[in-house]
Amino acid sequence: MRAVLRLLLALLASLGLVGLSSCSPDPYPGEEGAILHMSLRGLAKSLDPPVIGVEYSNRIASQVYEGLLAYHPYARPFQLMPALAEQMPTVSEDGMVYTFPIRQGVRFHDDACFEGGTGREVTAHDFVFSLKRLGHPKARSTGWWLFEGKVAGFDAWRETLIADIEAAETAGETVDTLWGLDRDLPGIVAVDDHTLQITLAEPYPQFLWTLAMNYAVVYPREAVEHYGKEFRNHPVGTGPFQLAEYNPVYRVLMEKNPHYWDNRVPDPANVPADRLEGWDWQADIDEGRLTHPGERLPLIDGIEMRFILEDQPRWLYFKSGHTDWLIPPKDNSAEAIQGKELSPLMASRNVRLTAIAEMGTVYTALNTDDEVMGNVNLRRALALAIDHNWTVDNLYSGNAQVAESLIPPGIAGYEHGYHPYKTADYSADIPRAKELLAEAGYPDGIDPKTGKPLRLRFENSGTSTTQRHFAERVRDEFRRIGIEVDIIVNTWPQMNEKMRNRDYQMAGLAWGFDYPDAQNILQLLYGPNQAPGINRSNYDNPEFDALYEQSSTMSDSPERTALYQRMARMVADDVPWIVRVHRTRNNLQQPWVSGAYYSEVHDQWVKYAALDVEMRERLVAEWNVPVRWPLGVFLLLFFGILGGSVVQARRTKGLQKVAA
Amino acid sequence: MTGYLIKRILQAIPVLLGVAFITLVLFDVAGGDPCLIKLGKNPSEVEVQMCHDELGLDLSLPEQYLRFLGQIVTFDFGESWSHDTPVREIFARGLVPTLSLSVPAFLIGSFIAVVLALLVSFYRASLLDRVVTAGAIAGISVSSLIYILVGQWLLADQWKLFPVWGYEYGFGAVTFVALPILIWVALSVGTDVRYFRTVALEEIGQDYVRTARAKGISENAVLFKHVLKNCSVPIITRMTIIVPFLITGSFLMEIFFGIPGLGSTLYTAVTNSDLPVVKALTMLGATLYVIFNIIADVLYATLDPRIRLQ
Amino acid sequence: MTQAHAPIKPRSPAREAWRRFKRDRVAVVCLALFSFYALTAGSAQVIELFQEGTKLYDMTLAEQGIDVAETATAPSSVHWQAWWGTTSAGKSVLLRVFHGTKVAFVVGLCGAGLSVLIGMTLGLLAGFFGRKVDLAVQYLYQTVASIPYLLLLLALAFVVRQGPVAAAYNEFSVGGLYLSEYLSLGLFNIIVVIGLTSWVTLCRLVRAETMKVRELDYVQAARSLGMGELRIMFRHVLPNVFHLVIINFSLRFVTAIKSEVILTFLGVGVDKEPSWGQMIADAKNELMRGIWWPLLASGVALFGLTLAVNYVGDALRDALDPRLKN
Repeated sequence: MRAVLRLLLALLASLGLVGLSSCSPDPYPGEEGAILHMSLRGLAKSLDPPVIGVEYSNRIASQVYEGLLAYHPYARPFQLMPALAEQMPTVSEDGMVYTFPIRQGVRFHDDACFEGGTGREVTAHDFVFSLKRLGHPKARSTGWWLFEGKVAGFDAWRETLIADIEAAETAGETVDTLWGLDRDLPGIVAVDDHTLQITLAEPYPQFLWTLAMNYAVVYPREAVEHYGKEFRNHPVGTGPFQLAEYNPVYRVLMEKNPHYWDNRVPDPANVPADRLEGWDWQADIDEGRLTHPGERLPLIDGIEMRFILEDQPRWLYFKSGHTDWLIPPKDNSAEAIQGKELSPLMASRNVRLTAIAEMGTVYTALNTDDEVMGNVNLRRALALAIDHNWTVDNLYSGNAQVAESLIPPGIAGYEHGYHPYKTADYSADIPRAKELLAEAGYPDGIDPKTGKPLRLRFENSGTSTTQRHFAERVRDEFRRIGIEVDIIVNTWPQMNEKMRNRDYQMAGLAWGFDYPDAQNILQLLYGPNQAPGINRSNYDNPEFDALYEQSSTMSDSPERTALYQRMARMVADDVPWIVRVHRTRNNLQQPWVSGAYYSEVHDQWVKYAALDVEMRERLVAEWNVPVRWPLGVFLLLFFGILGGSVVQARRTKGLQKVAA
Repeated sequence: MTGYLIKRILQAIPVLLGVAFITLVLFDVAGGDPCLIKLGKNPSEVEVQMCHDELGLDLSLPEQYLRFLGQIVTFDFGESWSHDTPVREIFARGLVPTLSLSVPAFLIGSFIAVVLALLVSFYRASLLDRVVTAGAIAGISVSSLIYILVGQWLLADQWKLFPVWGYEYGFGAVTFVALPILIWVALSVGTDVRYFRTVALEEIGQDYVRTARAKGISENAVLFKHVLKNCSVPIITRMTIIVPFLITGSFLMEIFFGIPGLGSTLYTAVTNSDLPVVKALTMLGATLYVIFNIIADVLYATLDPRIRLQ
Repeated sequence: MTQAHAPIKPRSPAREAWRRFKRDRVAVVCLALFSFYALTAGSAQVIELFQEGTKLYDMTLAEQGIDVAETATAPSSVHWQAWWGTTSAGKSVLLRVFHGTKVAFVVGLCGAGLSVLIGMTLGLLAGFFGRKVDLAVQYLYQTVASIPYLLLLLALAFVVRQGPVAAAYNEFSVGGLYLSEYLSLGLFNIIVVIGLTSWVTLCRLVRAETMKVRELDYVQAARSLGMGELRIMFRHVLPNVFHLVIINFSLRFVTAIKSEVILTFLGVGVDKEPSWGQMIADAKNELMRGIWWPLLASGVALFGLTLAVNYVGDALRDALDPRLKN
């Protein structure tokens, strides 16, 4: 028996030792160099440029790939600047032909797909290849619509390709994303090795913005040939970083591209090339954002991004100094931000806070095609039953502002003060909601058909606690006007299928802008886009559609803004959406990071980051002094009780023996 | 013996076919349309159709079933629908993290439980017995979610003894799996102690133990020579049966502690209607279950001569 | 006064078991604790049935005119509803934990009931009739047991909430009383999922035991007397395996309540009414913000009930199956 005891004690003691010795909370053991640590709150998906659409894939891709144009890292409002284009394009007089000179001497990353493993120089032909592949039906791009109807010959090229591919496949041929890609597309042409010409089919005011998106980056044909489908996990581009390790469910590690072209941090002293008109560079210097003007990129040795999907660990990672940058999850933001200010803890650590209103809108979609929800007064009553202030304070912990219009402030078309079905102070107006409900034919929420309270379905498109709280609040609020709500939990694929089949009544959705133009959100209410298209509330208003069509070819002008405002008013009147909030993104940056100026529109800002590694090491150690004594006390207690009872047990056993 | 094995394996085939069928039927009802995630915000009808064709979503259930059987036979489940990686690769990536968490936790937990169980059955009805059984019963009455929540909050966040989240392939894993293992052991030890105690007590109550004692053989010898030897049969069989659960059984821990294992993979796959991954992991789990049950039965028979296989 | 000699009555097994059970004082205390929970659950159910309109637990304190912010507030003595603090939606933790007891009991009793019913019936049939029936039942439970539990749990939960099953649930009525009026979809979902996933153990046990009992002399005798098969099964076999059912029921009761927590954490649990699982799942984020009272209240409530049932279950096993008693 003693042997057993000894064995147990030895084991537990060694376990305790192993436990205590492994008690190092450092999640980056053995790391060398200046590596930026970031966390992503969702998984990245494919890194194949035509299908890059997800936020988190973009964050990786923007460090690896580059396109013709890029966002200026500091200028606000946003401005474009040349990237792989030598300078901004020359545009023909009718605004239809864009000519881009391509930067010389830029090399692709060194990669096994090239002969000898060394990256070759980028030419205009690579751009033709990459942009055409965006429209290849087999690439199954989520972004080809950017060029649809816009680039001359693009639609016809794509349609013949679709038809031919179907024919080839019926004939038993295997078709990949390179099949037929060499066919000429008159709108996208390489004039010579370093000149690219794009011809538009119609004036397209947003065209240049789309060229700064990751859909329009350049990559070599060799990589697609070499990796085939696996190209999605082996991106080869020209960016300042290249992939060293990619585990799509855990982390991505990028190291710096040793042959990166001479790309420098914009320097206000470099007149006139870098000093864009309208860039308030002095403010960027004063506020400590622009710290390394004129220095060559990249300023760090690498980036490690971890996919941390759960809110709590993502926040704790930042709090302990293990990530350099974070948007605090809403539930933890109270620990980081109080009101509009940093919490004392964060302030004492010199954490930098940037609050940015997100370019996007959270809304509750109401399916106007539904038998019940088709009733406009019902929709208005529902909108009035919502206390938007409560939503902002409690569901968003203050990190949002109530949306007055579906178009967020700062985007042309936004209009302050027009919200007929939202009270002046955004609180609920139950009496008026009840009046409207009576007009809708549901006095006090009673459905005349059944004689019972009207029952509506609210669909959630995910299983997170946050979504549950949102739905529960909707139920509480609608109950106040006598309506019962059934919450239905769906996975995102289930929700998608329901929306396509128009089989839902209410759903909580959100839209983030692809580029700063109200057309991007108004398209969600355009009649011809009804389900199975993206007009999920199946809003059908001919007047709205006419205005939308009229505005779509207009370039930015007061006239177009007026049209946008009229459309937004129609939406406010007809309530196909209950427009909820525009979220605020509070960005926290550790004191040892400088240079990067967060933007929620693009992810190109990351590569401007600089790090003070020595400071990071010192502070992280300081913030993470382990507390060992409680564990010691616990172990003592545990063994004390166990040991004590063993001793006691042995004694009684001994006595029994003696007695026997 | 060989005949028995062949018989059991043949019996297992219809079971696996049934598992495949149930998986498919469940997803036919609950799957939704994964193409709309793949195609992004703005897909055209043609593309949706092409995607449906490629994924075989519009096939009839029997056709899909036949396809599925083909995949099982060739061990090739194609590519994940939600992150476009071959299922084989996802599996290879997730196996090590899962096992580095579940195997040590399982071994340590079982060891502590067996030792404690022997100890308390030796000193049965003493204070020790009461302390341990009371501790065990209290331990199993706490929700596993509370163990995880409080463990992470207290040990990692407040006392900074472990990293809150993360994983490192290779030896670095120790740092990250230590806390989940600790929690797992705390979670499982209660149940195991109770089970093994019952087993040991049943054995100690047997006539031969009394006879041995009466013959004056020392307690230690009785305990080790006879009791432990005979207890080992149910203990080993129980442990064998648990093995298949080590693959996806740790999903809560994996979700909370950021261990990129198969449990969290299966969880995300189900919530994203990623059928290929679900199919592969389900078939893997089911096959392991069937195999380890056969092993358990064989072991039972080999170790305990009283039992004959039929 | 003379007393006639009462005929010596053999003690019924139930009585005998109760006598043995009574000897364990802790078990009696736990039984009392369990009864207290049952009483609480019962009164929560009664209150729910007779309360018109919005349920009190669903109203924020501010909405009722009590001077408490419509957000998470620590326990205070402002009003009895605030004694255990309020949730982040500003509702009474006390009331929600109180009502959660009812949810726990519904989940426990119905979930365990369904599971035990399936397991017992199939086990009896397989053990008693043998041959083809046995093969079919064996096949069924082997198949169900082979599917990874996580998958079965989640996939079933999503299936139950969608299309045909949910529609059947909405339509189902007995004498004009709709099931959906008394049992919310979330609860129904959990019960079905737990019932369908956890019957295998009992089925195996009952099958094995039935096979033994079937061969016993008195069963053979009953058969030779020409008793109907079903009658033999229910009159003679069932009582002999019923102790297994009771013990298993207490185990399943606990698992069901704990599964509610996990399912709710995964987002496919109770949705219409407050449950302990919800409060524990919410604590994931609340704990970091220093909001500990919902977790403490629901966690302790859950702990008390599971502890009581676990202990009573153990004592029941010892009482019903004295072979195992140390």
